[in-house]
Amino acid sequence: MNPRTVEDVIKDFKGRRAAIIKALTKEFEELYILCDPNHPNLCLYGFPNQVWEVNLPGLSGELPEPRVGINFARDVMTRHEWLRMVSVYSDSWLASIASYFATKFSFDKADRKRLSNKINDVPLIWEVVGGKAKKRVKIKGGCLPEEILDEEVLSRLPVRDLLNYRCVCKTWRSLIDDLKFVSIHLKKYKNNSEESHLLVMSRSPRSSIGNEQVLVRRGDTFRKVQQVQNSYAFDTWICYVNGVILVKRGGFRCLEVVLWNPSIARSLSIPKSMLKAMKDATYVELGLGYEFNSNDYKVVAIIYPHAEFIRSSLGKRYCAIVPGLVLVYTLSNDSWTSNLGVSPPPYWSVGKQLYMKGAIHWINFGPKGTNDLLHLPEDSYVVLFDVKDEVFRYFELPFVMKSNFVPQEKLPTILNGSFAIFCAYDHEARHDIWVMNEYGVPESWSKCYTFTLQFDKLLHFKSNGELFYAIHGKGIKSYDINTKRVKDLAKTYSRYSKCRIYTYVESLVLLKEGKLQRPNL
Amino acid sequence: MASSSSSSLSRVVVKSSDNNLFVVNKKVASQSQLLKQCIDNMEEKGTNDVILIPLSNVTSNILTLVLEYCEKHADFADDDNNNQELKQWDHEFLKKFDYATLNSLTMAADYMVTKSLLNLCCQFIADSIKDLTVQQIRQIFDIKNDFTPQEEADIKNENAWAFR
Repeated sequence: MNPRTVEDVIKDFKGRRAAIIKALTKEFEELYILCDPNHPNLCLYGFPNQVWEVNLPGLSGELPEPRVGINFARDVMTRHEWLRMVSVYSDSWLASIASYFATKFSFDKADRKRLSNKINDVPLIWEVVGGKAKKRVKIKGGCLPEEILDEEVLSRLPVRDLLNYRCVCKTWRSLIDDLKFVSIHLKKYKNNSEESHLLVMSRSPRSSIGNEQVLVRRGDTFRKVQQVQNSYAFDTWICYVNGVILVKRGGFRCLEVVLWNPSIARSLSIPKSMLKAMKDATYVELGLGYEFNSNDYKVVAIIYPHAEFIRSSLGKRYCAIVPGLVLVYTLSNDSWTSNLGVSPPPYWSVGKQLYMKGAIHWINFGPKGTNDLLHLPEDSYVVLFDVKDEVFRYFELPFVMKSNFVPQEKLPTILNGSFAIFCAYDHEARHDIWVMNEYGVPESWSKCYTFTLQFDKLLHFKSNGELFYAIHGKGIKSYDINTKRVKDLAKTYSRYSKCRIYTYVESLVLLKEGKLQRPNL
Repeated sequence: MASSSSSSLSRVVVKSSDNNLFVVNKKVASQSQLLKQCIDNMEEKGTNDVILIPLSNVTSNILTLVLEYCEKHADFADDDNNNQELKQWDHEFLKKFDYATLNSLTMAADYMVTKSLLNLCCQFIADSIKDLTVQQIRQIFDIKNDFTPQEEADIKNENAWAFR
């Protein structure tokens, strides 16, 4: 029975709408499977009795047909995009059916108006399934959906403003404290993506340990932007991930592990329950990584309880006498777990770590496996700790880098989003940069840059290809590997100075978990 | 409804919520993921008809602006060198609008999945609410302070260094 009055049309409209909403929300999995792109062109039908169906076109009879072929697009877009697309099509299909009835039953102007008012009273399907039916937020006389304000606008503000705006109202406070918002902000905040600022820690030759100055400086001019309250000495900084510095105090004897976010002055001392195992060990390597699926941070402790220290022209290494073990601290649980099934490589070279793509990377030298140590060849390779699965993985290096004699120093780094290695040669000012063009595929290694540059200390390698370095008596400079331009940044640097540079990241990580660092601790 | 004899899909027709029709060439339409998807679907089916895409959420005024943006960006689509010029244009483009228009444009960009326009609008709005006092923010967003004076003082205290 076809409807005849405005009320009938609305009833028909609402029934179909309910059916489609069901298909796009509660029963979305089923819809998704039915819309196999290998089938011929399918349509999503919603019927007045609130039943939906996926079928070939032609079921509507005299009525307008829904969008044909929704299944074709399923696998070429994300689920979310596809869902949005289908809901937009469904909205316009329902509108066309209503206007078909209005014409067919010759509704007059008043009736047509009443009909369209009633239709506009209910949110679009697109709004419902996309969560956009939420309230709109007033802004300077206009209004925006709350979701856009949160995820797209507030997430582009500096942390200083966000900390400030936490006392606007309760809603804003809980929004800014929300862990999901913290991760969105990390991605969207412009200064983070443009890597425009540097975090520079330095100590002049005359200052004592613990008197390091930490500044945020502009990446282009090196001009000071702000000073950062610092309580941690130079050699306690292990690495810097998503705005958080991993700090290991106590030198050899690992006495305290701290996570510190300088941009919001929050720090968290990690529980000491496992510290005894670390204190008594010959060597402890700590690493920090981010796990994006669970939006969580993990500290891995690679512990060699009893190992032999080897110092040679190859650098510093430890060779396990007793097999090493692995402990993992998870921020969300604030606790350590020991990972008995996983063992670190038998040799561990002391060197810088790099976090990217859900794994912590080190360059290591030695045999990879634990069996048959004597017969395995010694190679340089990349060892990774997968933050999600908590296992070690390995990347082969290109042949010329495998032997550890040439090049002398290998620094894991990121270049334009790819994993790369900066190579320095002994007694030579020549440097190479090898790039793993396809992450995880050893065949894709290629030597992308070779250049000559004299320096005493390499300070930082920025992912756009800008190198920060220091020369005794001449100061701090930067070199762009693409344009080959050299920039003078600071006039003074002596080899007795200490300096470290990172690309500064503003983030709200640890806002909830960390404690505020009071000035002048 | 419009039907045409053109042999390939070089143009689509987009209908605004107030029932105005806009003829858009394919390259321009492709700046919107939503329109692009519609076109791709039709091409896969091998249809020769000009397709009509109804946008029940976007008024003619706003659609005109979105299409103006898409047209400009389609011109630059194959050309990275003119980035600076395009950035300048983007800035001038947005500067003209009041908040109500800017907000509608933002929502239209979200609906039509035109990511670069959405980013542009949101960055523009974000820049305009940077560095303000809490009082100013409450005024702009018409928000009532639901903290007690003590609670507000405590929150301020937590981050004393952030307050000017």
